Amino acid sequence: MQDKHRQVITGWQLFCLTLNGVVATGVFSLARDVAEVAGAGALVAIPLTGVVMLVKLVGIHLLANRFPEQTLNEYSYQLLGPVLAKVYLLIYGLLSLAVAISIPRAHFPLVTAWALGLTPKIAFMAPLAIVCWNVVKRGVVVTARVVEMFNYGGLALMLLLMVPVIPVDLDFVRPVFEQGPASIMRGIVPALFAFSGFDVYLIVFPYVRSKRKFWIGAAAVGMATLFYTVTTFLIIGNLGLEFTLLSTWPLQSYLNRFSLAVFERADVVFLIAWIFQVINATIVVMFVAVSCLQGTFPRVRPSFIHYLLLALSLAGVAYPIYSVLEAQIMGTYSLVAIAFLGGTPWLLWLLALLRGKRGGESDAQKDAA
Amino acid sequence: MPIWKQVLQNFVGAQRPQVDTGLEAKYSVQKNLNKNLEYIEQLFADSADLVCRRLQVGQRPAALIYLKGLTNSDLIQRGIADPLLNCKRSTSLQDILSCIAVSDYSTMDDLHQALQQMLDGRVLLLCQGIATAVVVDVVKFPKRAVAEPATDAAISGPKDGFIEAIEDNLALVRRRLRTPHFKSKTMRLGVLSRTPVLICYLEDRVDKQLLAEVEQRLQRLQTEEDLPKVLDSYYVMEAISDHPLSPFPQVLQTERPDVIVAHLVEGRIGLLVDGSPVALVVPAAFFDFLQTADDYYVHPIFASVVRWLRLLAVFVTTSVSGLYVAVTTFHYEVIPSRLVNTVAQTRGQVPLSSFSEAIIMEITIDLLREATIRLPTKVGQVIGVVGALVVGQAAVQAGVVGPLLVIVVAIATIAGFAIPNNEQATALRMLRFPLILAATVLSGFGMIFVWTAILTHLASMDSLGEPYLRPIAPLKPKKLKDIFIRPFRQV
Amino acid sequence: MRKRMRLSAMLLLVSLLLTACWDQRPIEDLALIAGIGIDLYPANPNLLNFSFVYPLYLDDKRQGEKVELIAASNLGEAINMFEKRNAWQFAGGKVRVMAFGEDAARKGLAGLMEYIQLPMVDDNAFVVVTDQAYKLWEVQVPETERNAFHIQNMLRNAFKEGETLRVTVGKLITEATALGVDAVVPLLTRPDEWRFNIDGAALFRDLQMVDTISQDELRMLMALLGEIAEVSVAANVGVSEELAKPVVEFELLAPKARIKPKLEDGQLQVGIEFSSRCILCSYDSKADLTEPDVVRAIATDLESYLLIEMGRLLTKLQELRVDPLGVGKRLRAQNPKQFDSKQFREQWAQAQIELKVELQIVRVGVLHKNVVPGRR
Repeated sequence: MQDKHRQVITGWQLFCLTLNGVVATGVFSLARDVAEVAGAGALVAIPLTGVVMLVKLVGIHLLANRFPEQTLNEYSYQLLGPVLAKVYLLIYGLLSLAVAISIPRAHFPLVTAWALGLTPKIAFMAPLAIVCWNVVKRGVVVTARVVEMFNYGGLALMLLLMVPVIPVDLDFVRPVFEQGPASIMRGIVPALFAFSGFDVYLIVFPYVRSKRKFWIGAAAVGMATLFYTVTTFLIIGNLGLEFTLLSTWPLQSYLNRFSLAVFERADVVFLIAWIFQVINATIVVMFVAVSCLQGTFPRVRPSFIHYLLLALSLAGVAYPIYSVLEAQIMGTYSLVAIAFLGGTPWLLWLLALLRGKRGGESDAQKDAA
Repeated sequence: MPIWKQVLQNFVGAQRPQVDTGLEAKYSVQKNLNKNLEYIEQLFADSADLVCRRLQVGQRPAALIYLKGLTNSDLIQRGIADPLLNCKRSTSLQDILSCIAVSDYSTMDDLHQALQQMLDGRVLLLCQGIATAVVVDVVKFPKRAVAEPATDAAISGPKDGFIEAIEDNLALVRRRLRTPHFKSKTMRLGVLSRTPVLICYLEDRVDKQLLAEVEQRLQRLQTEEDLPKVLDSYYVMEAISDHPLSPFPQVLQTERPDVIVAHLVEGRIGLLVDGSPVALVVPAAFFDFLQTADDYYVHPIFASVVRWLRLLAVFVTTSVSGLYVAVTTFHYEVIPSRLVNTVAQTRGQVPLSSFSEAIIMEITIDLLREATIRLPTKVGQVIGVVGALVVGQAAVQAGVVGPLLVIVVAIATIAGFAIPNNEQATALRMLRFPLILAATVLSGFGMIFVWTAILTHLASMDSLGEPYLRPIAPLKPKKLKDIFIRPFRQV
Repeated sequence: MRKRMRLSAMLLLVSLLLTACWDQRPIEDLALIAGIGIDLYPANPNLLNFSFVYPLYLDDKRQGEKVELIAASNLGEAINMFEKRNAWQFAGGKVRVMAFGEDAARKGLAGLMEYIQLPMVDDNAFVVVTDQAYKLWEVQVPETERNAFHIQNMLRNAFKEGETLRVTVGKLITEATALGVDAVVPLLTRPDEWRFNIDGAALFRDLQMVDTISQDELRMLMALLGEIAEVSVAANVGVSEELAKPVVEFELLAPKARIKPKLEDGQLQVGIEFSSRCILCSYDSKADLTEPDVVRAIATDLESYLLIEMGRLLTKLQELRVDPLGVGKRLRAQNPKQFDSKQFREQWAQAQIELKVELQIVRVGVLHKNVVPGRR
């Protein structure tokens, strides 16, 4: 076991994988989605969602730490038995694949509205899916490297976005509790969509070299929360709550207000540059999907799984659905996905605890030894 | 193996000649001198440069066999022939050896091995009744003097560069590393050319695993028959690269002994190849190619600024013409307000689309580059001026291309020249075309897809076990500083 | 077989990608709209009269300008008609000025909101209100061929000199939609065929223009808004023994107004503490400005002048039930539960306002020295 999962991923790479799995297209409409329910209370609802995600991370960490030398693919068989494990991994893989498809699909309307109005979906999405797949099929090492590489750009963009270059009217953001605490709690639900995606933690856990894995994951979740909160703060503070609600993509409207003599139309530039982040998130989620599918069918050749994944994701991005229906499907689907991906690690951990299963030595025991 | 790789390999390695040097098997030296000479003459029939000189050592008939032009005939006369002729006692091999006035000699029983030595420019002495060949080192062959390297020039710092003779090159390195830790192992590569290759390293700093890997890869070439000749270090480079089909260089080439020494001190391995003024350094990552020797001979601040400029050049040379196409055909919004009308006006006067305009201009510039490289310096300069100024100016005036594009392409080309390594610069320059194409079809988004594919390719490469994008991905904070800034105190 | 399939799939994809370049908008085929004017269409009150201005390239150096008038019910329709009528594609990403005719503005921005939000329209374009928007483009500005550029520069300079507010499309939308704050847009007039003037501002209430204020009132409003670093004011006040009050020109530096709304038993009480530093730029009197007492006396006079003028403006705003100062916004921020957007306008109209003004003269820009004849 030790040799099989040579610890090839650094702590920093784990941070990049976790962060980039989370931050993608959600940021464009997050402020509006949450403010619709919670008003200016979005500024509280989003950090609260971060806390909820931290709870999910604790579950994932407890489960993974119980089997430090094994991946999900291996210990799920021990815990659930061959049939159930296959079902579980298949659902896990398909849900991740659905998320991987939904990220670019959700980005496409934005691209259509802002820059490419006539380009058919397939012409834009197929190359996107192919470049992501091209990374994923090269395995965990290359995936980690590419995500890390892109992360520098993504992180720079995030930090830039968090700089308040346009003056913020504090009076717009101050009525945080206008709609009461109940609406803030309800605001967590739409915010959850923007936070899903760090299941990669579960998959790469045995590959990571660092010992402070939990804190790295927590830092990534914290970073994502901070980013979302600050951008929401800037957007509502600049556009005002009412216009934020009117605007289809408040982030773009916010960026449209920024202008320099040489650097005009920050919104268009940002939209193009952000594709890197979309690619990054798609890579991470697709990687989770392919790992789970490989775990489901351990006897099938990996290359076959890879091509299956390509075919599925191409079909997924190209399949035409009416946009309203798509929003509905994605709404329900994301809820199911979030519940499943967030809940099952806790359940599995509970099962492992009850059955007394434990794989390999834990880090602490190894240190003591 | 993917199909495109197979196709490419079929193109690249279509011929696989079966080679036999004739000197593979062991062949003992006979006691009978004539028999030996007959064998040699038969083996080297119709060789104009083979000299076989018979002489009498004491009572014993002997023969000196060597290749004219590779040997120092004066030294043969004074150091070998004259003393041997005056030799009184010739009862044993020891007597004869004591007569030879050249210090560097050896004896061997295998005639084939001795002939191999002779082919390197040594003199072979065979005596009647002695089944041993004496090989004396009197190598002297035409070579040029040590001069400043043409492609790897530095403004300050040492001016000596490698030449085609491996011994001199080794001496240039040894002069800078006066330590017993410096090792240089010899290997012969190329079944026909039997080119000597030196593996240089510092024993206490080199990664032993890495050394073994390099040796193993070279060893593999020694036995395989698909490397019949090594005429230049490039042959070796192609052979030891992890990804020979990748356009990006994975082995650092340099003509400067100081660069080699700097890399050896960092624990890398240098390869000197006979007949080539270009030495190799492995392993080499993407960012190593963006450093020059000059960086270490100027103030660190200047050197750091220049490094940033080179990183910028990588981006500019690949992407700027694509960006021009993307901006003028898709995203006019990002052009500053004060410029947008001017751009529209100049574009309006050009009958071609941005894409065709850019492609035509890029091809023209590449043609000019290719044309000037092989021309004599003075003619080349004229062509350069004619091409850049006259053609550019005339094209703008004739309304074939817009003036803005001329500026863009010129900047891209100049940025390409700012990249120190020629091979890397070529690889990056070629990326312009897919980027322009992607920009035409899918605007800035297309360019990002192409960049993703490129970065994926780079990230998936390794140079002898080292990630190609090290120390950026995976991040090595300690090594990072030598990429973006030139450290003040060198390790 | 598999290889061949893979190859054919690749080829299919490549050919698909290369068949068309769907969204190419070559810059030379674009009508780069510099200004948009919106008026009511006289013949049919349900239609709007859109005027688009865009540059035409005559030859190497010269650029002309073309105005296109289109009557349509909304901007999207107008754009469609524009593209049908012309060979050019409509490009709204570089709009510099968006002008509303007064009638159109009084009718309301509500119908315009949807397309102001269009991603292609630059949020940084300046907004003005004028009597007839399309006539702006007919003015023969002597120094430049292009009116939209000229208006943009004029507004920008006027903003820098403290003459007017800077209102961009984005700011207008935010202020027009946000609860508890109303928009104010500069008013542009056309005194003759050769020039423009900035003359006061238009007040908006819930996306609808309700009234105008004069340039002097606008200055007071700008001082109260406190968003502008400098406000230039000219007033007839001052200590003087002369019969006529001398003209004082002064600049308010970094004016600040602390607005504290309070709701007690349904009665709105607004405390406004205005404080600013001040520079005297020109003072037309014989008074000796080197005397500190004189300067102090002038300051007191200016304070009372501002108190009266601002009070007058506030009364007008209350009468109009317009709140450009953002009193409601502040009330909402401080006490969200008390704020009721439906009742606020009435509350504001009935509000008791307590205004305090504090001025500090930091510099005396001009010393008026009498030249005594015969000294030479």
